[in-house]
Amino acid sequence: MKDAGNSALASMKKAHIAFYLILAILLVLITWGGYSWVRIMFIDGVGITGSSDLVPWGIYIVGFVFFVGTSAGASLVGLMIHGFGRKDYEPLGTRAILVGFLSLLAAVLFLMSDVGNPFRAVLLPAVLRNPTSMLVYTSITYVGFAALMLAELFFAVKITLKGGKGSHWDEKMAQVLAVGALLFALMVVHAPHGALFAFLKAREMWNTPLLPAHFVAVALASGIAVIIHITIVTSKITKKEIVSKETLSHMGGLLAFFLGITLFMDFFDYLVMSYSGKPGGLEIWHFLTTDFYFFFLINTIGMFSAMVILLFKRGRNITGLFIASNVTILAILSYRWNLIVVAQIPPLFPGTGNLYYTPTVPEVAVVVGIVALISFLYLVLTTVLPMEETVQEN
Amino acid sequence: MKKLNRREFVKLAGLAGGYALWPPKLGVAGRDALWPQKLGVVGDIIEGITGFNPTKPSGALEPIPGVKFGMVIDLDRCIGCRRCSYACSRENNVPDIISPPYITLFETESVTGISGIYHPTETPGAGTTMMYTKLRKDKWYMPVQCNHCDDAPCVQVCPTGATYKAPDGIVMINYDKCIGCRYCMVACPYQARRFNWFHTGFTPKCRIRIEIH
Repeated sequence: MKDAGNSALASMKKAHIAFYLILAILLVLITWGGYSWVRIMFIDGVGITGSSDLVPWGIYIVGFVFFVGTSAGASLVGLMIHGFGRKDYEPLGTRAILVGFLSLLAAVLFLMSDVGNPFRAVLLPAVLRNPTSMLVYTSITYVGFAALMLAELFFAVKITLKGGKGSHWDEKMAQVLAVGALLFALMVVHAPHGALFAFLKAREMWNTPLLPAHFVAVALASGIAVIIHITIVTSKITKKEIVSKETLSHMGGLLAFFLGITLFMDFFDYLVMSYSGKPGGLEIWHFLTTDFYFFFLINTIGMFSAMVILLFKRGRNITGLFIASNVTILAILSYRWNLIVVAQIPPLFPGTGNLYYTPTVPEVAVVVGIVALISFLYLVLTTVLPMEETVQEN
Repeated sequence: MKKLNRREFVKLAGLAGGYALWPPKLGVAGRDALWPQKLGVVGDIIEGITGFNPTKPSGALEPIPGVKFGMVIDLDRCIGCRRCSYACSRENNVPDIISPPYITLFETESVTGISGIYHPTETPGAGTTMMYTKLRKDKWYMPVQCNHCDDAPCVQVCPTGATYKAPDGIVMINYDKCIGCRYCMVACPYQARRFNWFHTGFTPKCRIRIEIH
């Protein structure tokens, strides 16, 4: 353990000056976000955010939903290594778990920024539990998922420290945890996360049985897109190939598959609504394409174009993958914005006109602060923890 | 430290998982039983930071057995003076800066049926010139407020059980349990739940029984 500590310190000392500069900038952003959080929570009140009584949920819930989704990437990489036995994914294992864990941390921080009484909300999974509320079950599963990922991270690091070959017990635990985490993620985290919204019968855009399945597909797409993005950027900066081009291309194929499923669901949702003439459901589709067409276009065209790029083998080179993963991240952010904010815009009473929501500066500062915090933790932890990044001989 | 063997580890993990997923008993009393009664100083510290102690009474008077409350509004007699809105927001600590004010008042054209939120700049209250007669004979007014629904969506979704349905039919709130997540606000089809944006961070609402007593 002492050796591990020393090597961690040594790797921090070896880091380039630009690395410390980035950390310093992130620290400034974290301080800005932290100050705004204190202002919102304890000095001025939640009223200085853009949310209002008729649009109660804003950009924090958008961030919360997005980051819960991206945590799925860790489970997918875990499945590739332990479920399908793809050894070429192994160099990514620890990094993917770390990204998943930090995504979940960001999601919880977003939730803690949104509620009026964050200190009391911490008690939610343990004590305050109303059995008919989906938020109770999802909060319990976030804690469970975070614990599973921490355990996965522990064994992954332990195995790496032993030179990539752990004891039989360690290997077995890593495998059981990885497969368990995937099942847990899909069945208990992402699908109920969709149900959190789907159960609300007052909101036409949310109240559809398709939403839990849609959430799973979108979560997997955003998770793998973030992993592709991080892998390519890290390879460029460190000038080391983390995984081979074939593995990256395989990840691109997976991304295309999940994007395809998402678009397929959207297409048939629209088709069923228009064929059966269900007024409420169809109205939402028209609502998205008229008044709020901008985010809708980024969402659909973004997902479609990323899928088209990735469907061709030639598109799955480094440049193609980089473009497609970034476009996917942007498209899914737009989708989350549509889902959370735009869904609250249609008036529930006739004649009241469309509602509005614009995030305020302190609110954006908290968002920037949370993203800066997880970036900071990611940079420090990937430097300190052993990441096992060597290209496998094929 | 004694090392756990695999069997013990599985047992422990099972127990922990079992507690996490153990469905809490229905009803306020059942849920409160989950709170460790003998936390002592630790319990005091938790209460000091979060203000939460489920063993404390909710501050509401007990429902009278055999009594069921209901509220009726005679729209024929509503003149759109918004006194109800003024009184409700003060009684229940609902800020009226974030529009539209609560209780929301709708104004309807009696001929065309076109309606919209009625929210003139003049606020009723002491020192105003508001008249106690219907100013426009061709308009109809409809206040929209908490209906104390039988199958209330806000009660269903409230994660902490802060909003609950009392035996006498009133949808009550226990402020000591509210975390301010606003799930009740997005669930309400009447948009009749409001948030105290600037002070408490709770979702205040009318608790008829307290006002009556």
